[in-house]
Amino acid sequence: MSQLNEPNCFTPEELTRLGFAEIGRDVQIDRTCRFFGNERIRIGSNVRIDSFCTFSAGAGGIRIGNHVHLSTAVGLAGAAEIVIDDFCGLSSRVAVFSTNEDYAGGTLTNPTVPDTWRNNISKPVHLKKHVLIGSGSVILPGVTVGIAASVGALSLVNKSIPDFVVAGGNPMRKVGMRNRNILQQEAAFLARPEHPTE
Amino acid sequence: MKQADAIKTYLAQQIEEIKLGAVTAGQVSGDQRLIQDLGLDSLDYATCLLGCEKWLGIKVREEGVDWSQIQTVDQLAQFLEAQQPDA
Repeated sequence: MSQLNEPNCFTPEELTRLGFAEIGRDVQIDRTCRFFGNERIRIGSNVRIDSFCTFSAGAGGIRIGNHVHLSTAVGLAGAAEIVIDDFCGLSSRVAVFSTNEDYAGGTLTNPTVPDTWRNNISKPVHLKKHVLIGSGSVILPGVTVGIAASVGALSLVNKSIPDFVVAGGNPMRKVGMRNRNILQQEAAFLARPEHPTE
Repeated sequence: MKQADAIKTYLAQQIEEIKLGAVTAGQVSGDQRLIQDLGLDSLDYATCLLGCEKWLGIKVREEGVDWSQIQTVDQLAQFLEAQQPDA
């Protein structure tokens, strides 16, 4: 894994003190990242989280797999579960929401009022393994992005994407298919004797 | 001018792209309803229509159109065929 500038990262001891539900090995997290609901956040091994990322874990929690990279200023937030499986990559300023306000409703909005006055919609979000999300894209509640699907920059992901589909835009459209060889690459990578997560 | 069959083929490709491959062009048949059977929502329908306008080089004349009568792929293809200036 290419390394972040070490003095800018939390040490393993500091990561332990942050009180995550689970934290793996070889995790690099820039000190500028902010975490809320740490006891509901699970992070795997060989994970790199770059500067200014924000996790806000609601009741459903946030689960990050192994070999996941979150680039600068990625935001994960919402009451329902957010799952990012192994080998996913989220580019800069990607936002993943598992809760949304009711934009057409007559209820009050935003967290300064009690939930009983709001009509939030919370649904889990799942990015399956090898998903790649381009910079500035927004992923809305209830979306599942299939295995090795990828999303172009500045896309609004408001519906689920099947496995291996390359999609992009707003409104989002299928623009191609990803090479399935990625699964063989994964198998070969994990079979290496020196693989650190084994 | 493009015939309804060619428009139908293009529509099927559009639907595959809009449905992100969950429905393939080969699975689209003329008697399927765009919303109820193929699962397009209102935004998908509008996206599909805009794509066809661009491809055909036309602007759909909406005055007097009864959209409730344009439900299936065949019906939309025939409607778009008739919208072309030399139809």
